[in-house]
Formats: sequence, structure tokens, C-alpha cells
Amino acid sequence: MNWAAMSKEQRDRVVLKALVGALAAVGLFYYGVYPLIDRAMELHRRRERLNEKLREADAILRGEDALRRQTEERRQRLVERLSAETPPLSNPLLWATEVIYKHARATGVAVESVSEIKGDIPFWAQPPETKRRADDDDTRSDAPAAPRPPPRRFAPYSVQVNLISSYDRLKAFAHSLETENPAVTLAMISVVAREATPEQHQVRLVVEWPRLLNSMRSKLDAITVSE
Amino acid sequence: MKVRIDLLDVSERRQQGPVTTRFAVRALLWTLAASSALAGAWLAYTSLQARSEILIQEATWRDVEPRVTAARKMRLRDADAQAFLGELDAWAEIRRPLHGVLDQTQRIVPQEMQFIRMEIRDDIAARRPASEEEAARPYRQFRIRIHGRAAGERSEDTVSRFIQALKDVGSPAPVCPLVSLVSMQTDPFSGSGFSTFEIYAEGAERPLRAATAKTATKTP
Repeated sequence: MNWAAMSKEQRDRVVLKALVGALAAVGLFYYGVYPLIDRAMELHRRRERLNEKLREADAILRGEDALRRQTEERRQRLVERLSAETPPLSNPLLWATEVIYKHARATGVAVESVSEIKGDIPFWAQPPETKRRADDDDTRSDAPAAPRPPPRRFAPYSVQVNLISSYDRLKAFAHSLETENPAVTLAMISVVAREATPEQHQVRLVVEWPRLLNSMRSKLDAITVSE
Repeated sequence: MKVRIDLLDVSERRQQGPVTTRFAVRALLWTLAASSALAGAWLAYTSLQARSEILIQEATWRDVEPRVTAARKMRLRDADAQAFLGELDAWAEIRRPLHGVLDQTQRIVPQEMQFIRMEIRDDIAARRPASEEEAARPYRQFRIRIHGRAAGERSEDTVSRFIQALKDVGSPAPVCPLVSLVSMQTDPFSGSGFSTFEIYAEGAERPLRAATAKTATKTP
């Protein structure tokens, strides 16, 4: 094959063959080899993803027993603390009254009355979805949802206690109440001297406990119901 | 003058190299074809291998998936329980036992002083956040208001001493470091030598922290 010795016709034929050959090579690569490589790569990627998934599953399952023990311990601790430190959702005043009288009897304080301080859930403890929004009538829905602050699980539950007591017995009462329950707070204490009985004072207390929010009930049930 | 005439026809010229162009082109084409065939075979082999591995892995995943899902749910429940406990801890952390405050206040009251009324507040309050994205920050803050009577010619000194002592109640972390005298006047009912006073004290804000559920960020 000598290009110089070829006639024009022969040269045209060679160029045409070369073009057809190049086109065939490109076509073969594009429609034959490339999809094959692509499929092979996809298979490899899928295998890697599955591998990763199985590795992590293995790690999870290796720690399954420890996790189960830890979850059970936490669940029990939560149940214990909730029943000891927070008033129940139903009839909390009865629970609070029992607590107050128990400590009053133990310290020799005369309780005159225990009454619930009723009020709305404070705004800072309200679940995000029930918070009133300034832009409620705003119809823009394409805006990305803004991150919301984490919800609170407890809100204060307060009772007012009126009692007659000496200062020392009041201290003992407060000590007894606060030592038994680390979550209880004496949110207000008012001591007024009485002319008739200088040793005995008129005392008004506001005792506050964290109380589970109703909106958190289902979440708590999911935790505390043992499998 | 010398004239050199090349009488050889172009088509009759011989290739000077070790192989002819035709041979070189053919060899190249064959090599390309053979390597393509080998690459194709390797591709097919590895794909087959990957496919069979995928089948095995999928079968394994189907076996472990229920346990993994259960473990993941357990992990979430555990994180939730931790958040509940964390919030209870936060309530306990923010509290400063009042019996200690009552006790220390009793100790610092001078002999010449008598309380008529004392109110200690440690209720929970919060400021509204600037936007919904911000969390409201509830806090507790001690506020003490004392209305009392002081006896003696220099009752203002007695009150001043008491104010100084009240500032240190709860040290090293004083409960109410900001103490101010609201009023002081001669007690008209008790005669000369007696003064009534009102003191207001305020402590620092103790924020109630929020407990968040710590969940695994990367789960299979």
C-alpha cells in the first residue's frame, strides 16, 4: 500500500474505509462497550453500598446486647424518677398533697391548705407545633422549613401551700422536701410574723415540680412500655 | 554536469524497514481487537462475580434487616430516654435548695433586727426569643424582699451590716449578690430607736438547659 502510487479512486476508497472503520469503532464503544462498563461500574457501586450497609449492620448487631441492657437500665431509671420526682398526668394535686402532708407530718408543720395554681403551659414549654405563629396566614410554602428549637418535655406544675410554722420547722420542712426530690423547687416562700404567736409564722409556699407535657405522653409510652 | 535519472517505478519500491506498513496496520488492528476481547471478558467476569456477591449480600441483608431495624428503634428509644432523663437533670441542676438559704439568712440576722415579712422567690421565667428559630431560654432567679424592724440608736448600721452579710449568703456562689435598701424610716408605732426597713435582693439568672435526644447521625 503506497499512498503515492495510488490512483485517486483508490485513495478515496481507503479514506472511505478509514472513515467507516472509525465510525464503527465509535459506535461500538458508545453502544456496546460504554453501557457494559457503565453496568459493571453500577454493579460495583451497588456491591460497595451493600458491603457498607452490612458492615454497619454488623457493628450494630455486635453492640445489640449492650444497647439492650443500657436501654433497659435507662428505661427503669426513667420510670423510677418519673414516679418519684414528677406528679402524674392524672390527679397531680392528690399526689402533691400527699407529698406535702408527708413532709409536714415528719417535720411538725401545720398545713392549712394545699391548692393548685392553675395556668396555661408557659410559652417556652409549649410544643413547637402549637406555638402561635406570626405568619400563620402566610401562604408561602416553598420556603425551606427553618430548624426549630428542641421541644421541652416538662413544664412546671405548682401548688400553693399555706402553713403555720416556726422558722426552724420551716427549714426542716424545706430540707426534707428538697432532699427527697432533687427536681422539686420552692419557687416562692413568704414568711409573715404573727403578733399573737411570735414563734409561729404564717407561711405561704409555692412548690413546683416538673410535670410531663401531654404532648410527650406518646413518646414516653414508646420508651417505657417494655417489649 | 551530472544528471541522475531514477528509473524505478513508485509501485516497484520496496519497504526499507523490518516490516511492511500493511503488516504493521494489521498487527495493530489485531492487537486492538484482542485487547478489546480480553477487556470485555474481564468486564463480564467481574460483573458476574459482583452480581453473585450482590445476591449473597442481599440474602444476608434480608436475614439481618429485622434485627437491625429493631436495634435502630431501640437506639432511638434509648436516646429519647436519655433526653427525658437529661431534662430532669436540668431541672435538678437549676435548683438551689432553699433550706440552705433560709438557714444562712437566719444566721446573719443581727440581734437587734426582726423580720416582719420575708419573701423569697425563685420562680421560673423566660424571655420571648427574637424569632421562632431561636429557643426561649427559661431561667430561675432568686429575688428576696425583706421587710423588717431594727432596734437601737444606730439601726442604720445594723441594716448596713445585714445587707453586707446578705450579699454573701450562699458563698462561694452567692444567691443574691445584688442587695439594695429600698426604704428605711423611723417606726412610728414602736417609738424612737426603732426603724423599719425594706431590702430587695436579686441573684443571677440560672438558665434551664434544654436536653436534646442524641441520635446516631449515620445509620445503615
